[in-house]
Amino acid sequence: MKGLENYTIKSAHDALKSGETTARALAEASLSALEEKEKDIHAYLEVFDDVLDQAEKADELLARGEGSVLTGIPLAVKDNILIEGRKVSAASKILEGYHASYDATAIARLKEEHPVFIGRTNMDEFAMGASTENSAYTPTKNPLDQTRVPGGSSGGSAASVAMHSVLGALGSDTAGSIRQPASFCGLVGLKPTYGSVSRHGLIALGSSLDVIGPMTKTVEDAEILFNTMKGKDTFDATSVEDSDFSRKEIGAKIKVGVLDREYLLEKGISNEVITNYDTSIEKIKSLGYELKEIVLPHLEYAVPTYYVLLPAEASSNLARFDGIRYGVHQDGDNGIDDFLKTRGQGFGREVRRRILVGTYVLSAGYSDEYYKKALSVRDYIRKDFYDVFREVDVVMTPTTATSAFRLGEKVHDPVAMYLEDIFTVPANLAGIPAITIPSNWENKSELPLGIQYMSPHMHEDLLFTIGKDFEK
Amino acid sequence: MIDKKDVHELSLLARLHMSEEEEVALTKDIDTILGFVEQIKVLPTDTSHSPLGLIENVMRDDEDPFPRGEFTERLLKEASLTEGGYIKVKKIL
Repeated sequence: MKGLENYTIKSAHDALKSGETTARALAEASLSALEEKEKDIHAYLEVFDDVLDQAEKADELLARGEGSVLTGIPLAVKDNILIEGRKVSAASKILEGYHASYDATAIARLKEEHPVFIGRTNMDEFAMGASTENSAYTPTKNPLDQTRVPGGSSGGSAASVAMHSVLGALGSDTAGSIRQPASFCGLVGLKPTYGSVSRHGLIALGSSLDVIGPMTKTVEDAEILFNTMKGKDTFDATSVEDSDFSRKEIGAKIKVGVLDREYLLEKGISNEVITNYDTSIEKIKSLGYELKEIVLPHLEYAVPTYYVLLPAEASSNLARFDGIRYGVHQDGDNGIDDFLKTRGQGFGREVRRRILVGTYVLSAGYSDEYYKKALSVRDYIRKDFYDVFREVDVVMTPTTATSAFRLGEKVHDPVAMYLEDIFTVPANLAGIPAITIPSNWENKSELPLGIQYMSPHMHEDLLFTIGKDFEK
Repeated sequence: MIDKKDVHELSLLARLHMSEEEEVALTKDIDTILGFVEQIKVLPTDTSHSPLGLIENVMRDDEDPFPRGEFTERLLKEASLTEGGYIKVKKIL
């Protein structure tokens, strides 16, 4: 049996079509990788018990000459995306025992292609974190170095691909939760344009920022998953389609904006990251792209702005967990006491911390000072990109400030953990798409580092073009 | 500066029961977080960029309702307490 490390989504599809392999063989390869590695990595909260049945159905379709590029492909799904009838918990105790009542739109669209869903992956509780250490169940380890975190919050999804138990995984990205773990695990991670993939059936964290996206080994695979999931959805009023945005005119040469080296040094970005950024800039130049130094004047305000807006939105979104309609219920002396106990016991520490910060910044007397101020600063950041994209087509930055850090290194320092998002959060605030591509992959003895590319709204095509050139 | 009394009141507002020990620990955490986000206050509040905002209100007519009861069973199955096709809660008044 050939292991999944030998395939991408595209090459596995070709092998399925030529009869070189079967969906069942791919599913067995997945289960055998899990058997060997999962006890150490903890990428999954649940491995589904019908994996081989799903694979058999896919094989039947393929045998009839039906099916598409995703038919029979093993995929993993982050535990905050609903699959009807299956458990889903956002890695929180408060949703223990909950079964999804419906399919997320992204899942419904994937199901039409008959991939094989292997399991639901571990994450930071309610996607709050950057290391997967905030899971209410267990931390996930980085398959490339088990003393290190896989990143987060989609750390289980990243690990599931990096340990070769699947060929692609779904994550969600609110501030970097797809891109940072993809970068830490040597993968491609796409945060699509806000609204391009429906949020229907994604357990909400920050509704003005959240988006579902793919984590894969190649840009081509990310493109395949994105194209299957994207599109307007009547169940999500904020979903968009191409015609909602004007297209940017692209010249013969794609113009790439790069950040000033001195600026990165000032911000305390690690040497390995800056060196890798320099090397990557040289590579892009040699590939024939035109480079231009750019400034994002309000970049340093992105993280503090986010840590006002996100807790505010999260505290509102998480108000629904009352122990009445779904999830765990703790009985108290009266109705209010039921809430206090259910929520007090059901939510983990970081979730409680953010709910309180959100409640504070939205409370009378403070909302002008914090929440409304942050909304205004968000517009400054949007304007930065609006201006920059008049000069260049794509902006190139490091994905993270460091490579994968050690388990336990940042878990007691919330602000240090928040600063993990410095390069990734601006794209969420502006709603634009961004992709991370592994960059120092020639030397596999080192920990991987990602390079991030950002483009104007709905210009994922530019990210795929430059990404395919860059990953070679 | 935020103090332990504020945190206690916020926890009641947010319907989160907490031990006193945790209130003390969270007071320190939240104070650090608010100190960190404070830096955005140096920028003037400016709404002149608003055309860049992509938020629009999407309304639809309330038509074509689902047949009554179509999803009732499926949704009630996830509730902790139910009775006669309803979710059951404690007496409020």
